[in-house]
Amino acid sequence: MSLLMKLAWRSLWRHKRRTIITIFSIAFSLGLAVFFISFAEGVYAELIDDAVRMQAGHLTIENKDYRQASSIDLLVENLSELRSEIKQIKGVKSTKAIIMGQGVAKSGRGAVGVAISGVEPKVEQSTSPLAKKIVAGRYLRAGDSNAVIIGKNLAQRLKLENTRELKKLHALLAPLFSPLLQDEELMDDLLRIRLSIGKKLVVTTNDVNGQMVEELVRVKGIFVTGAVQIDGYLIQVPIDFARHLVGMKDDQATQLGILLDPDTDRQEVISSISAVIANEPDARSIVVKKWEEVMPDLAAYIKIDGGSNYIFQGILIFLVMFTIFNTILMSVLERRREFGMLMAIGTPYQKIERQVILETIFIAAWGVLLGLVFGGLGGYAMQVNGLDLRQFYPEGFTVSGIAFDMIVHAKVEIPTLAVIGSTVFGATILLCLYPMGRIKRIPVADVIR
Amino acid sequence: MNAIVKLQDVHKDYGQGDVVVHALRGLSLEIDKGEMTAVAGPSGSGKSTLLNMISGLDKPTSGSIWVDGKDTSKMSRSQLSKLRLERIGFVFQAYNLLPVLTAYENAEYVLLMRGVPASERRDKVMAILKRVGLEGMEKRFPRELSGGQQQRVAIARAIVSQPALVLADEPTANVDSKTAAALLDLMAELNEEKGSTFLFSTHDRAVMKRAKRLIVLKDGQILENGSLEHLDE
Repeated sequence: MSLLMKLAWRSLWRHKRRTIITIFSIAFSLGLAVFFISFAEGVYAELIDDAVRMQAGHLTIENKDYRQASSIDLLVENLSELRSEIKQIKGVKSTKAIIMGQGVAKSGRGAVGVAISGVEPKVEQSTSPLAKKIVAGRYLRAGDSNAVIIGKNLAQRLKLENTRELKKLHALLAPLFSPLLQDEELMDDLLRIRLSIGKKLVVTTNDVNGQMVEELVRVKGIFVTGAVQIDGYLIQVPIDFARHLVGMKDDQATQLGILLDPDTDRQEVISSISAVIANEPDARSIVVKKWEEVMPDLAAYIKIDGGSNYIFQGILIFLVMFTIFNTILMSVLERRREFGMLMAIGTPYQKIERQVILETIFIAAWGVLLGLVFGGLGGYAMQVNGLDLRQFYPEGFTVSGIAFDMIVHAKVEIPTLAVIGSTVFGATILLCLYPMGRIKRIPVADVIR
Repeated sequence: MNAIVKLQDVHKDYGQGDVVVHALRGLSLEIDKGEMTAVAGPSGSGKSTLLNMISGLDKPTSGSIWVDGKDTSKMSRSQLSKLRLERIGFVFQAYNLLPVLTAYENAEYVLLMRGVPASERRDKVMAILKRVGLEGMEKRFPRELSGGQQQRVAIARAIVSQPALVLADEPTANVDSKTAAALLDLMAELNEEKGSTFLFSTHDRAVMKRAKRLIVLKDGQILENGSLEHLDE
């Protein structure tokens, strides 16, 4: 070990308590930052994943005017050829055709404005989280016609259940299950949902020519996502039925959603898709959009929430930096005599500087290492086991119409750890610059007496 | 020229405006190689200021100082630092050893800074520690040594690189009279053996007696300059 290293190392451990407190201050703040940032990254990743799977993918091909006025006649044509070409692009996992429209759902006892989503049941079953949110009945199947799945809230608003049937079941089940189902409302809820399955609805909307059309559909399943906007407003029908309803051809849809493989260079895929689109007959009217453009509310939420999270962690680290700064400054100031003596016997100033930097590096390296281990392990445990938020949010939690999965998982990523760790390490090293400057100003002749 | 130190009309003032302290007032003197000189005088007479001026730790307000033939008043901070490292050894009143280094490492420090190879360093350090009577105590830290032993380490550190000049600011002020006598014996022997030039400040008459030459300062001026016997007369 060189003399400077020896000096730095031993000087640190001369004040064990101070050194340990400083190392743990760095480790604690960094660990917290790593944990919360990993946690936020995990929540955002899940939220984005759910949203893109449920809606129109990581990338969406649609008419360039669709976002200004989401009209059913703003189409993507030549769908099958477009899909087969896009599937060849590296990083594209799957594609999904969607028809989105507005309409009214009518039952015998009510009418509610709805968003009609025509989807490919087979594709959605493997990609969309909605398929896993069915609480009664089943999800759509390929070959289903005049079938619909609706949210629990919508079913309640349309009062689909037969009142007589409901009363009969209540009377039958109450004596049997009331000791178990103490909450009568809950039992009522379950019965109403169950009794909505198989009931008929009339869906009214406009077709591509602007004419009003309507069709009778049968409820196949009820879903609960926890998002009021979805559970009370969205209905899903098979895409073939949707085409038939609005008068679209087989090769048409309002959107073509594209799901990407993890860690795909999105910009590269966009460039490749743009090249494919350029060869299409309707090249001028269709564009490829990122999910942030398709779901701007969600993107804005993540940006704001993520930003405030980073600011909070930044403030925490900044405050701890003051402790570290104070420690280094105190360590330099109380050793004025030692440094003065070193300068008196001819030690070059740069060597003393190097000693202080080495001491800071030791502290920073230990603090950062421990912080990354603590925060990383905490985050990893949360990544594997998840955190159940249901006790904190029994009603669920939605963002921009997307329901949070109430069991959230952190996402620990090496690049994130590297960035946070090196930022704290670098900041700690920078903090020693001022105390180092103070060494230069030591009045050597005075302090060595 | 045989002078290792030469001062010419050196003034040192502290403070500004109306509150100016004249620490040195036109001091001129020469110290020859191999001399063992004591600078005596009451507190505030300018002893420490004189040593600081010679070592380049402080700059004179006016006048010139030559050390080993070099005009220190024209030197930069780093040049002065280099001069101290290569040509001057220091012994301080309060020992000023590095508390985290052993006796061996403290003595080795200057050689390391000068880039002396490891094997040569080891021979020199072991020889000097033996010479100052610290054989077997190489691995002890300063806190494990007595005041006298610590000052011996400081002396070893000051002379291990065989500097042209050893400056000692009241080197025996913090030790008892018996230890002080032993330290002075040691410095006198080293002065004889190695021809090292010693310049130390003191206000202890017993210490003054051991010097070959005595310079007495008062109010920043030389009051007397010669041998103690001569001054006694």
